[in-house]
Amino acid sequence: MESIKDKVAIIGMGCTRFGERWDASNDDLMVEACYEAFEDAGIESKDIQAAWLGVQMGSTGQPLAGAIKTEYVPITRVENACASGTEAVRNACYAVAAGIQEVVLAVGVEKMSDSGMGRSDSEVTPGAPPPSQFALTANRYFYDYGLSYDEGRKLLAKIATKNRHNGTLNPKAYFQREITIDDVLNAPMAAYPLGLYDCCSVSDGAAAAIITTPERARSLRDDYILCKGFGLAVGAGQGQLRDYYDFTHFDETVNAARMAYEAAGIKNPREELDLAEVHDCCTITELVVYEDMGWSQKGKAKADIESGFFNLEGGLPVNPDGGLVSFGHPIGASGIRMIYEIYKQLQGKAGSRQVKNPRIGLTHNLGGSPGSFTSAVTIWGCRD
Amino acid sequence: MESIKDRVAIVGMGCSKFGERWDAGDQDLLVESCYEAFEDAGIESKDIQAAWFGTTRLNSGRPLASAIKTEYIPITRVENACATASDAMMNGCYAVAAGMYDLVLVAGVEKLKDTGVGFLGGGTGGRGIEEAYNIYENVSAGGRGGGGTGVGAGTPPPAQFALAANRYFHQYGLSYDEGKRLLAKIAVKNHFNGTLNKKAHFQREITEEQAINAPMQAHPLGLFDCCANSDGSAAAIICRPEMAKSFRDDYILCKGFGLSVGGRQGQLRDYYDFTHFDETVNAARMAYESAGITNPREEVDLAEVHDCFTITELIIYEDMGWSQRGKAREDIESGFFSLHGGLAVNPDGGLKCFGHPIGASGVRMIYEVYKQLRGKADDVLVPGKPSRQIKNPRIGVTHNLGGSPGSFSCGISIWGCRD
Repeated sequence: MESIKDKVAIIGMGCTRFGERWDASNDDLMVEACYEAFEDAGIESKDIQAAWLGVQMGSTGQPLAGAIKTEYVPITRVENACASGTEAVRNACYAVAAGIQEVVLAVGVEKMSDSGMGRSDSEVTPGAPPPSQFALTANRYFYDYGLSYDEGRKLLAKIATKNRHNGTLNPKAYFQREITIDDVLNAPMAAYPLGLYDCCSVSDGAAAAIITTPERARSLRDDYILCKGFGLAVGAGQGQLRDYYDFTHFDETVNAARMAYEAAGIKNPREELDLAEVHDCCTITELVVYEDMGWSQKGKAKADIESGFFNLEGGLPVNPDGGLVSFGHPIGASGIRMIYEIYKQLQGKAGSRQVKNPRIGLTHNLGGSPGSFTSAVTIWGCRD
Repeated sequence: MESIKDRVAIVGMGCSKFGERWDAGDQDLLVESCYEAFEDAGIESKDIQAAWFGTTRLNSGRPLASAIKTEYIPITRVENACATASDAMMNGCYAVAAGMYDLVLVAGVEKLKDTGVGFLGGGTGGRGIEEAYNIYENVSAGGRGGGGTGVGAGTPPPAQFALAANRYFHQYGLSYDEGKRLLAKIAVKNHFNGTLNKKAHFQREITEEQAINAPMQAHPLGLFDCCANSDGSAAAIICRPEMAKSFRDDYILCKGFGLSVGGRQGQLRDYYDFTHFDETVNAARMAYESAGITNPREEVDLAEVHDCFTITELIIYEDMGWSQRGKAREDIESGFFSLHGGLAVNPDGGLKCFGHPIGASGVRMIYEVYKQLRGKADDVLVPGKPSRQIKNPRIGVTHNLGGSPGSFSCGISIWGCRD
C-alpha cells in the first residue's frame, strides 16, 4: 500500500455563505460554490473531467451535472452520513492519484432549512435525536473525570464561545454574533446537560474543490495545497453491541486519525499540526475529539481548553472558521467547508482570523451516533 | 491521463439468489454474497482493507460494516441511481489502481420487496435534490408543452420508456405489431437464458405470443417488456494484478470504465429524439477507449446490459455500437444476441429474469461476466439443463442506465481474461 501524501493538489476552492438560504436552491448553492472555485483555479466548467458529489438528500450525480452544465462527464455521488463531503474529496483524490483523470471537481451541498430535515436518520437508533445521543457522552465524561455539572457546563461553554468568536470574523458563517459564557450557561436546555449553544444548527450551504496532480498544479498557481493523508473509519455498531463501550471516546475517530497520521507521516500531532477543523456538532463532541485525535491526553482536555490552547491564537487553533457551531451543518457540505478553511489558512488568505504561518491543517468529520460512527480525517499541507 | 486497463483484477465474487427474499434482510443478503466472494477468493472478512458499498436506500457505509463485522475500516457508500453498483466498483478500482489498498471489497445490495419501493406509483424515483428539479421539470416542461421531455420523478418508469418505444417504432417505420413482436423476441431470449440460471428470480420460459398478449403496462410495453422489483446482493474482491496470482490463476482483469452523467440535456433541449441515449453513447466511448476496443461488435464476446425494459435493451444495442442505428431489428431476428449468437447479451437472464434490486444489479452483471470469462458459467446452472457457458469468451461488458429519458446516469465496465 502506498500513501496518498503529495500525490494530489487542490488548486481552487469555493464556499457559499451558510445559513437559512431561502433565496437559493441546491442548484444555486452548487453554482455559487463551484463558480468561486472555477474562478479561483482559473478554469471553466468545461475543463472538469470528472466530479464527485457529496450530498445526503439525493440519489445521483445528475443534479451537479444540471447545475454546472457539464456534458456527460462522470459524476459519482457519495454519501457517508456527516462525512459525505469529505468522502467526495477522498474518492476524487484517488482517481487523480491513479492517473485516471487530471482535473476533477468535488462538491458538497445540502439544503436543510426547507426540505423537512431536522432529525436524526440513524438506522440503529432512529428514535434518539442527536443532542440526546451526545448528551449521554457529556454526562458520562463529567462522571468519569470528576467534573461537577457546573464545572462541566462551564468547560463546554468555553468551546461554544471560542467557536462563536471565530465565527464573528467570518463573513460566510451562519452566526456571526459573539456570545458569552453566561449566554451559554443560561440558554434553554436541549438535552441535559447540553443547552442550545452546545448544539450546532441545521442550515444550507455548499462547498467545492478543484483537484489535480501536483505537476499540473504548478502550472496553474503558486500557492496550491497538497494532500498529506486520509483516514476513514466506519463502525459496525461495536459500541452498541459490546459491554465495554464507555461513551467518552470514539474508536472511529481514533482509527481514522491513526490512518491519516500514518499517511502524512505525523508522529506528534499536538506539535506538528498548525490548525484543525473538527466536527463540533455538539461542544462535547469537540472536547472528545481533542482527546481522540491525540492532542490532549485522555481526560485532560480541560487543562488545554482553560489555557486557550485551541483558541485562534493558541498552540493548535481548532475551528478557526467558527466550526459547525457557527456554520450549522448542511451534511453534504460540511467536510468540504472545513477543507476550504484549511486551504485559505495555508495560503495566508484567511483575513482577520489568519493563523500565523500554518504549514499543516487537518479536518475531521463524525457521522452517526455514539456506538456506530463514520469518521473521516483529512490532512493538507503547504507546497514545499 | 492513464487507462485503468490491466491495473485491477477480480479474485473472487459472490451473488445471492435474487427474487422475493422475504426470508432475508439487507444484512442477510450482504452476508450471502460477501461470504461466497470470500470463499471464492480464499480470504476472510478481516483481510478486507477497505470497501465500497452500493445501495440506494441505506445511509452510510455502516450497514455493510455491521453485516460482515469489519473493524473500523474505510467503507464508502456510493449511489448513482441504477448505476449505483457499477459506480461503487469504479471507485473501488480507482483506489486499488492508486495503490491505496491491497485488497478491497465492492458490495451492492437492495431490498425492494418489503420496503415500500415500487416506482409504479410515481414519485419515488427522485429524492431530495432530484425531486425538486424533477417536479419543476414536470410542471414547466409538461405545462408549457414545448421543449423538454416532461418526464420526471412523477412519471413511472414504464411510461418513460414507452415514449422511447413509440418513437422508435415511428422513426424506423415499424407497425405496432412489428414493434411488439421485435421487443417480444428480446423478452423471450432473456427469459430463456434465465431458465438456465439457478440464481434468477424468474426461471420459466415464455413464448412470443405470451409476451405480446400480456397485460399492457404503458402502451406499447406489456408485462413481459418490463423487469420486476426484487431483492438481491452481489460482491467482488479486487486487488492489483501482481497480487491476484497469489489468490487464483483464473482472475479477470479490468479493461475499462465509462461513467456518463446527464445534466438533463434531453429535458431542456428541443432535439431530444428518445431513440438514443447520449449517456450510453458517451460512457461506451470512454470505456472502449480505455480498453482499446475499436470494433465492439467483433471484439466483445458477451455483455450484460440494462434491460429494465425490452426497448431499453434494443436501444442499447445501437448506442453501444453493436447494431447500426435503426438496424437492431436484423440482429435481433438473426439471433445475434442470443446465448450462442455472435455477441451474447444478458446470458444470465438480465434484469428481466433477475429483477432490479438497484444497488446490486451492476455487480450482479459483473458476476456473470466473471463466471463466463473463466469458463465457470455452469456453476449456477439449473440442474439438468444444457450448458449455459459461452464458447471461449475473452472480453465481457456490463452496462447500467439509471434515471429517465433526458437525464441518465450510465455506468459501463469492461473485463477480460488474464493473458
